[in-house]
Amino acid sequence: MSNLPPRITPPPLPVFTPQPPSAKPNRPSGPDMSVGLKIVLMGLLCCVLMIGALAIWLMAYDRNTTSADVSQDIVGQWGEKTYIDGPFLAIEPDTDSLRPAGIVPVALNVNANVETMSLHRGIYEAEVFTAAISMKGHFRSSDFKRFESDSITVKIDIDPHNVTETSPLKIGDTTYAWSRSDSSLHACIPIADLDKIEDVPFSTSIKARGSGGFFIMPSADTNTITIIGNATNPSFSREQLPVSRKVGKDGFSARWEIRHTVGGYNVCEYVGADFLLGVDRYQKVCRAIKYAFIIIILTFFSVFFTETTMHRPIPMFNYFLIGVALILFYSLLLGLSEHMSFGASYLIAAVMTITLITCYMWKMLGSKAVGLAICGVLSIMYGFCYVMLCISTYALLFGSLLLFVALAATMYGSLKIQYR
Amino acid sequence: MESQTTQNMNPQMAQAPKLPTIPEPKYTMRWLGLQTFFVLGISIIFTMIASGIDSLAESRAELTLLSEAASTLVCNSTGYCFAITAISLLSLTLIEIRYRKTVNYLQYGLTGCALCLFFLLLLAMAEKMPFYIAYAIVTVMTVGLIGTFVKGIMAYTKAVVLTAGILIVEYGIILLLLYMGSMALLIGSLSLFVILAIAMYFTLRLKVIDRELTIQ
Repeated sequence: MSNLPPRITPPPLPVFTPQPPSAKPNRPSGPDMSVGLKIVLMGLLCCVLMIGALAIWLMAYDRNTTSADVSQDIVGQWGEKTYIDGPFLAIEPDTDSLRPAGIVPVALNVNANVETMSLHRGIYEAEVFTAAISMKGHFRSSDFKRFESDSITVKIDIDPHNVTETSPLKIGDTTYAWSRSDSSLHACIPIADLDKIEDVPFSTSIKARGSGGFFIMPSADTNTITIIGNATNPSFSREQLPVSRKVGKDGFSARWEIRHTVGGYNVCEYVGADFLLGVDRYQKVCRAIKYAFIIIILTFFSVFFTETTMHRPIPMFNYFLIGVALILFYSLLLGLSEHMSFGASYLIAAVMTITLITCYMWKMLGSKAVGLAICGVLSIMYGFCYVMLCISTYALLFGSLLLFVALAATMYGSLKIQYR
Repeated sequence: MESQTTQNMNPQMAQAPKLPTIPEPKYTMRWLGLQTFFVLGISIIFTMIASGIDSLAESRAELTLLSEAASTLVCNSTGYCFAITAISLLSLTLIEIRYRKTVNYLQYGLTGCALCLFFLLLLAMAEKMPFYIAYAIVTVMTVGLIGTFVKGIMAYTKAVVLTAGILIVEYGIILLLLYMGSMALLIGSLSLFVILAIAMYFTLRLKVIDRELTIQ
């Protein structure tokens, strides 16, 4: 027995124990990703998703350019900005440069009703208008005696392409038909007809069409010009603002009262209003895409906050899918806005996106409360985004305040995060 | 008997019994994340190649080798390259997880090449025949090639049917969108929304069991 070697205890062998299935099968049992790495990856993911947003922005920009081209094409056929200058006296129909002071009317009263409407070509459209213009006033009889010819021409400078209908020029009790030349309407009046009239009253009316703007030259010594219409976005001429104006949802009205001293006519400017030529849906989509980054960041933070507080790790792949849904919102918005109003398309796209993400979070974490919370956060974000798109002047101030509130909420949320 | 005694007398020499080893998990969430980035990366590369095919179609139209209408359709179809590559390769990833057959990066790249080659073949065939016939022939060729390739990789008929089905649906939607005109953006966006919802549904069915991703 003494010859036996000393007994050596072998080291314990590793024992294989089969790993039981996890208690919560949908929870990864591997090592959790560190918070820092996850935040870095979330930032990287945001940048990748913004490539998609950029692609949609380029698509909207491209369509905006096409829309502008189509609008210009429609406008070219319908009529461009309408400028009306006159009536005034000319020796011959084709001379329009010789307009010394005193041959313009003494008084001119113009009433114009400008009705705007949309013309469609496919999904593109252009805003055009028809205008009914009535003109009244009177000339000095002495002005007619300055001409030595037998007849005189009353002339209105307007692009005949814009004129759809005219009523005859009425001077005193006599009417004279308008003729058209390349750039004006004119009527030839025998001087003999005017000898009996002391103060030469005139009246006429024109129906015109155009787009982009409607302007009238206050050519008389005393001018009263009234323009009414159903456009909600007129931009009045800055050189001479109306003495009274009213712009509302139903339309606008503006009135100019301009009195010239002798010779002052030479320095007067057209008065009227510019109208929006096309529709601004593409600009709104482009503006909405500018808020994409902040919406993605805030949504990711909300999901991350939920994940941390519930101690239920959410894989980055799921973050990616949520991000794709947020980017797809803009594609839906762009697609829908071409077939309906921007507000309705925004509502539909937002409801679809919020519903998808809410259901996803609900089913992923198995908590209805979490789903509703994410629904609330997304609704608030999309709601504020829409408000910022509608208010242009206060958008920066409102956006800055919103960012301040979001930062405060993020700070508060970060205080609630506890790491195990 | 002697050898047994020797063994007993030299326990240090004793061979440890061969224990079953636990293989490192392959299909993890981290793998899926990396795979997603890989798929997006090669989709971007193939999209750039498709934009080259787009330019080629325009130059062929200028040379009157390709009709103006066919050139427009080919150019419009290349715009869907990113979507079709990304969706097809991500579907292949999910099929790989489902059937537990490894598809390596080279095979993903080759599948992407086949998807990209679709557009060049379409351009070439559209020069010689009507667009829709060229589209049908090239679709059959591409789906057949990728289906056979998947059969070779996975050896599962169900995987082949699934892959071919997804491709046929994708190419069908693109053909519809090409002829839809102004409604294409809206219908395309809605289709993507539905595809995203389906992808989300599948990720909800992704379970991690013993550190391995499985689709239940």
